[in-house]
Amino acid sequence: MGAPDFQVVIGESSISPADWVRASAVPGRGLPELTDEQKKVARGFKISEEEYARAELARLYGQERLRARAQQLGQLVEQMLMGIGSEYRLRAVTSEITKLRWILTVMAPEGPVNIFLPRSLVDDVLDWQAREVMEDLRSRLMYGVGRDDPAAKPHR
Amino acid sequence: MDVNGQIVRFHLSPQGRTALKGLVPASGSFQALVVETGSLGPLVLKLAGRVKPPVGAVPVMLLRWDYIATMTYNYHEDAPVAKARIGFTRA
Repeated sequence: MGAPDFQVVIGESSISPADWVRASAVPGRGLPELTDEQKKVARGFKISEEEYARAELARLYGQERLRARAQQLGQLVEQMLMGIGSEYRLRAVTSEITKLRWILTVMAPEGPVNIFLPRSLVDDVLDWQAREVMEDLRSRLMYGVGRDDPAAKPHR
Repeated sequence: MDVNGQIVRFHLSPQGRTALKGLVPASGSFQALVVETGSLGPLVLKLAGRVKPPVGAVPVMLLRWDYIATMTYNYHEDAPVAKARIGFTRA
């Protein structure tokens, strides 16, 4: 399978306990080098540079995990869009985790369309792929690109 | 704004400092990962320095809201998303 044809934008990271524990186990020499700006922030908040770097590493692990989920979501959405119509192309998958949502940017003939998905729906789609959540995602895509069937509106 | 999944620096209230004596540093602030937030306060995973990864479950601690004087964390602004153009378009 080739490289995905869509952009992945990861905003704020979401750090899991596993990311945090993983970052805490890294020896000091394996921690990321802080920029001057980050060192200044650490001093301002009276945090040791090591502690700040460990949090930064956990954030990078969280970003890495979200990026993988975004790719997975994007590939799934690309397949669904192919079934909806060849004129629709997925342009970007954006995570806005602190706002508990993901945003899909789909290029439609009339221009880009943003489709908002609740984080819980995306988690259910990626972790369970249950029929009702897949149908919910498909309904949101159709509704978002203006191809909605009145009987198939998102039910969340 | 949701701080779940964020590493937050907690500054305790005098009441919190007394109640959590022995569980948190005697002075100053400490950082912890917010695992979940409930009506009583955040559930946090506090790890200091280099630790051996625990197997399976991880120990979390409830920090009652009244134990917290303030909390700070590094906010990274989300990237703007694409917007459809508005106005007249050429047919």
